[in-house]
Amino acid sequence: MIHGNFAIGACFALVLALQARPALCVEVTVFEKLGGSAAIEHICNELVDRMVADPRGRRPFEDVRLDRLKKSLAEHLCHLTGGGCVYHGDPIPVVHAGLGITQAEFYILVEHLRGVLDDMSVTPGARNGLLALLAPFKRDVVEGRH
Amino acid sequence: MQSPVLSWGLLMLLAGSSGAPALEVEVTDSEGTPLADAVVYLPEMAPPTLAEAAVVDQVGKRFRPLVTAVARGAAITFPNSDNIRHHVYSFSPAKRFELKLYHGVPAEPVVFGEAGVVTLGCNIHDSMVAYVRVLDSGVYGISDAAGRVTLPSVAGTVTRLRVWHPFLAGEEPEQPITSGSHSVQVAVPLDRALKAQIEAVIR
Repeated sequence: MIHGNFAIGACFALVLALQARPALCVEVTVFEKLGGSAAIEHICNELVDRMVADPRGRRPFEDVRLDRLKKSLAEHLCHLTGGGCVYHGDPIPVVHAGLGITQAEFYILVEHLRGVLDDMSVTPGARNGLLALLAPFKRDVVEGRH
Repeated sequence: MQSPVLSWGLLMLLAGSSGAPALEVEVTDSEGTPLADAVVYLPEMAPPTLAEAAVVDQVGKRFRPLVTAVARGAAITFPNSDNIRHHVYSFSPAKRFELKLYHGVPAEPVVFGEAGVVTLGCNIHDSMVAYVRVLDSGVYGISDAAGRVTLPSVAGTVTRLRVWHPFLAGEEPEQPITSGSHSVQVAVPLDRALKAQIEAVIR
């Protein structure tokens, strides 16, 4: 217990002193658990490709520049999972405004995300960590009643 | 009795129609098929001193219209008739800009101060391509579906017209206007590969 507190304290001190990513910290980020930048990029590419290939999922992606979307999504996920990226895109509610995304479409995306993570054989901790970080965005993505 | 305003308008109309007739231009491709969206202009006519205004709208993830012609110095407004966001940009040397368009948030007009061709795209949507031909001329028109353009009468003051089209192959064709002629035909060679490529995108 004392050791744990000391470790977290040291971690904070390091971050403050070095202005660096907490790579030396005891707590491992979801970003690292997933496998870093390459894994995040793979997740985003696969997720978008699977949504577009799915007749139930493709509607919100019609006419959308998928290469740019994948990059922006990867940047956001890197930021969200503690990878230290700066997200340059618009706020998530603005990005989805007017697209009329239904609850069903949102859950199709979750289904595909789970599929991608399963296929990558990420640890349950990494998978649940990512899903937990993304869950609050449902209210920003789905239009109308949630 | 007519109101003074109406009489004045009628007078202008009569003055227009009773003066020198307009110049009718018929634009085709090199096979003789009528060509829409061609910008026909008179390079000898100076741009107006007062800046023009034009509108390029965003409708159903497409630009409307595909081709806009303006005189140098014009201010173009980009409304957003979609309820989703757009991010209009141009990398063209004649005017580089980017403009984020959110639903219900009017954006400042963009001033096109340099003559040239400006290709518009949207960072978010593949399906959006449009063109602004900024002209060093104050007299111009865009051909309709039948390839026809009517230019105001400039009898005796100009000797030639020029045509630009987004799928133009090579230099802009130039056509002499002989004094006293009221109709001109002009053929525009097209880059078929470019035409197919853009039409597939904006379909």
